[in-house]
Amino acid sequence: MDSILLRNNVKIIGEGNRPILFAPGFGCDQNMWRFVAPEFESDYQVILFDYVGSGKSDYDAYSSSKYSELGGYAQDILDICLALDLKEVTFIGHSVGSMIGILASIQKPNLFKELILIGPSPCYLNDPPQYLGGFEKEELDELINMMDLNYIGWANYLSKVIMKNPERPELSGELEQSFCSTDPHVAREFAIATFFSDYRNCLPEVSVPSLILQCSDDTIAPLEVGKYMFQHLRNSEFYQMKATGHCPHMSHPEETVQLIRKYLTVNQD
Amino acid sequence: MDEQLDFAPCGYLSLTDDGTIHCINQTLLVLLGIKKSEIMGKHINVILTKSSQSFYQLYFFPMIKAQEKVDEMFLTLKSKNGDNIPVFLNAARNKRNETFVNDCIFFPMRRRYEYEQVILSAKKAAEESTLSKEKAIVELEKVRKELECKQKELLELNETLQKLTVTDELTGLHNRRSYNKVLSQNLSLFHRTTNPFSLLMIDIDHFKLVNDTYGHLTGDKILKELSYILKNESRVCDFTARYGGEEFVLILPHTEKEGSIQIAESIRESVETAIWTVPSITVSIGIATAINGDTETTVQSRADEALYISKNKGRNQLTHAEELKKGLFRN
Repeated sequence: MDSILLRNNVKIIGEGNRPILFAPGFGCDQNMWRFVAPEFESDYQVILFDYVGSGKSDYDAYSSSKYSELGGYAQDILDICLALDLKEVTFIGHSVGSMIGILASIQKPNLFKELILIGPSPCYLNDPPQYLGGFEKEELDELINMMDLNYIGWANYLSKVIMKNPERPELSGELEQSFCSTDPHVAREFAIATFFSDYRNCLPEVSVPSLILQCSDDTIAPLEVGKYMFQHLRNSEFYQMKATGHCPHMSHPEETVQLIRKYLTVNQD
Repeated sequence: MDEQLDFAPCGYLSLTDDGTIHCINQTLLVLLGIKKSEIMGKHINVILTKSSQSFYQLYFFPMIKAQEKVDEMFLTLKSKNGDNIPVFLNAARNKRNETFVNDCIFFPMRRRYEYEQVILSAKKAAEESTLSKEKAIVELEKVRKELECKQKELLELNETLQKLTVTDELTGLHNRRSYNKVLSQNLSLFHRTTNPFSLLMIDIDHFKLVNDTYGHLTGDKILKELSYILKNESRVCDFTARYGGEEFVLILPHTEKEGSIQIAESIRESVETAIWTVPSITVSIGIATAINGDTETTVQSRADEALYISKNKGRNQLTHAEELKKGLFRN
């Protein structure tokens, strides 16, 4: 049990009994939830974690074969639920975290009470004429190239190198804080597993009730994709937020919290 | 905006949290080839390429919100006429008039962008070549191990063959072929150093009778047991071989007549007094010690002659060839 909690850097806060599990989106760790998660502490058991290869997870636990598809990450969600003996879990996932939760719920539907999906997408690539994911292949290639140019993941690598150079402590501290830190190799594989995946076929298999929170003007998960999710997920509700962009839990935490609360209250019985 | 910032040698704009541009300097407008009126109040997406829009949402926004600053981010801007402009971006989150704004400065980095692309593709090529090198090394190591195995097998096979060619199969002593070689070596050494060696020819007494009476299996057993005694009685430097049938030879390096007689006598005695698991036997021995002008044939025929004398004199005894010279035993 401890090994799984360490592997995924699991943090448990809050005074309630009902478990609520927050799964971060692509590229960032559990600190993403800092404006939202504390709002649920008083009446929920709030569980936060990092994906293997991100944040303060155990990087040695990473294996390309397991995590080259989102199923590997979904297995880790199930591992965490089992290790903590969670039941009736409220799952809140952002971006790729939504898809990871969906895959976990297909495997163990009884574990989950509901899924709250923020900016979900089952497939980022356009598949005309019936599906518009929002991206052409070249655009995704360029996005991954841009990650390379920004040395995404190198911060973490560098901080390890700089740890060995104590004469520059200021840089080490700064890099450690970087909450988007992840291994460069992992970042690239995670990006490919995320952006070049196609889980449209899985949507009809979902039986757990869900809420889709769709942002306005979201380049990464456009409105059409949210609607597609709504059409293909049984027992789903769809809400288009006033929030713009792809990270409403960071840009519009109040609206995000309010919508989640409302859904949880209505779905209570 | 003051004039210094407006015309500063870097692009400047400031964004609200929802990404709306509400302030932009002349330098950036010129870079983008766009009029101020066309862009004020618009979302930053209008000046970003598609992948930069995504990158902005995935990384820029969460970072500026959580860390209140972004350092050294690379993005691609899109000018009004559609050109891509690679830029370096620094941003800080500041509070002005009770609201948060995100101040961003941009440096075009065309040349540096080219360098970075070259470096990136070099890095990729290096990674690929490292990978294929590692694979090749693994493959090479496999081949090397196989070769090592084969070599070992070959060495073992050679060793077996070598043994087969120099060993007498029944007794495990050296065979006649090996004896001929060692005799020649000892002779050459003798001619060079004049340090004599002696040669013992040993023959089992009445062996034909044993064979006829008890059968060849018993005969073979006797040969084996005798070989064991010969091995035991000879010194480490001595050479013991089966000459053929029931005849054995010993080459005793650095051994003069007296020494050779001693060894021959101890062999004879051991054979006589040994406890045999088969009918007991005795041996007759002829000895020759190398003399000047000796060849393989002369030294061997002297030993042979001496053996003949031992037989004639009633067996179970030894004769040294020097005594023949004295004419003591000539018929």
